[in-house]
Amino acid sequence: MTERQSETLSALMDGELNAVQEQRYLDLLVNNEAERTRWHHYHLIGASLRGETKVGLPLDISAAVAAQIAQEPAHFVAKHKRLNSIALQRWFKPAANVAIAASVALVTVLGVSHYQRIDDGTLIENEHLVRGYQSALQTVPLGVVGNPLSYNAQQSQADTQEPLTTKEQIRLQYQIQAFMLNHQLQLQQQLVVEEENKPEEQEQPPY
Amino acid sequence: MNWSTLIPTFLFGLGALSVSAEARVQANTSATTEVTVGQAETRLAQATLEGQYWFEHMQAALNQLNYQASFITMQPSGLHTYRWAHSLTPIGNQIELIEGLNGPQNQAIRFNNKVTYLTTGQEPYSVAAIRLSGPIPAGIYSNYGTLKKSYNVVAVGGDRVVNREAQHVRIIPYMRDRYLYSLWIDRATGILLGINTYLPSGDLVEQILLTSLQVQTEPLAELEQVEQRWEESNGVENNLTLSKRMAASPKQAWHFDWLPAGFETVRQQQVRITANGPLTEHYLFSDGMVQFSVYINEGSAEIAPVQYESLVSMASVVQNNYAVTVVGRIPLPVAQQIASSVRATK
Repeated sequence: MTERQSETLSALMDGELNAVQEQRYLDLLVNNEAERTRWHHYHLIGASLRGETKVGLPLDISAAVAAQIAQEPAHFVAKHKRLNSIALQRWFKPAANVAIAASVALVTVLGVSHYQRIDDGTLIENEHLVRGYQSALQTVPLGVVGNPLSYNAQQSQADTQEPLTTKEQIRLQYQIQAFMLNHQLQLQQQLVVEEENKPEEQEQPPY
Repeated sequence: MNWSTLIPTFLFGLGALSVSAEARVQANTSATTEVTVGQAETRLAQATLEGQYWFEHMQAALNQLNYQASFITMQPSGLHTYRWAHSLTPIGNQIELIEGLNGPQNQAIRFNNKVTYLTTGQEPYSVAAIRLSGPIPAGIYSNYGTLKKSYNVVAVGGDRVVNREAQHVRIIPYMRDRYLYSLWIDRATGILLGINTYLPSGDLVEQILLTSLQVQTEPLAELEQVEQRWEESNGVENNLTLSKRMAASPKQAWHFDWLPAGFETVRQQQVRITANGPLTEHYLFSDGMVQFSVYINEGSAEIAPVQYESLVSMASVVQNNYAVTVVGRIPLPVAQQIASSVRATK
């Protein structure tokens, strides 16, 4: 490290370089580890002088940021936010949905074993009609339901400011999974009815 | 749709309209607009005719050819891979198989009008249905006349998909309250090569794309074995359940103040959503391309208001003494609006 480079670094930090110099020095900074370390040190010194340091402040906070993100709870938004295109683009980056995805996947597994029907005889008169749903309710649909683009639990006015408890979150996920699964089962079973008057559709000759 | 910008003035003389050429020459600017619109309509009519041809051609191919394919689906939950096989056997059985290739074994086999679902760790079961419910949207097997009530089916040109020459067909709803679709159909065989599903805003939410396709004259050996096993176990029909149209038997009648145009009731019945849960009134609506369910629970205590937006949207709306939940491949705002529109009529 030459004296001149140290000066350049100081000048860069103070915003005193012109555009060409700045670009040249930033390239050097990106490619030179010693220079990057110096960059950290200079900023640390500056921060110390201004009294901005905290005890144990790590030089590199990227690890701390990652840990912080991992601790973030799944987001439940109190008020419905309209889907926007930014949210949609996010599905090209599956990692953005990991928090929700993990919890919903868990419910999928739990839900399947919990939604088995117990025939308690209350449905005798309808039994022939509903028999189809007994085994069917244990199924995982072949098509995947998918992760939410957005997921909003609307809370009652009384506790609008309170985040949902874990118990409430689980209950909501059960509710969503239960309806989603039942809808999939309905799709599996509704097709004959719709088409039974149109048998000719299948018999169409090829062109 | 920018047909009007596509029609240059030199088309005037082509006589596509019944108006005489002389009248058109004398026409002022407003009449010019009229002619342009007329031309656009002609072009649209042509594209619609071709769209119907390709759509029905595809259905015939999917129901009658012997093919096996693999495909991927890209959804908000990520990528999934599947295998797809179909044969029409010499004795006239139609057999179709779709199998998920990732994770636990997950398979559906359709034997004529019975579909068996097999999943690792689950009891296999069968239902009566002429279509297999899986990753391929069932709507592409719908009657064209049904679709036509809600969608324009238009041929929009050629493309190359899976290294094959493909016909691009778009299924565009008349109203911006449901999804749009693009299909790519193999020009040589008529087999479906890919489907994109778009939100009304135009954003892509699902992509299905064949990665390999093999069409052959002989039925697939694998499916003939299925047929053999089926014939051997004839009469046993383990776990077969035939769904029947259930009579509407509501204690309470429900009225929908608003439904998206073109959706009609497929059936109405009572179901249990959870084990030992209360009976829930269920309506299934279809516009040919998609179906959505409406569940009405009397007594709102069990249901929390929630909105879930994905390829399959869900909205629960809680009223004073009942809760309405709408689930389906429809935009969330539409699901929300339907759920809010349900009224008790007593």
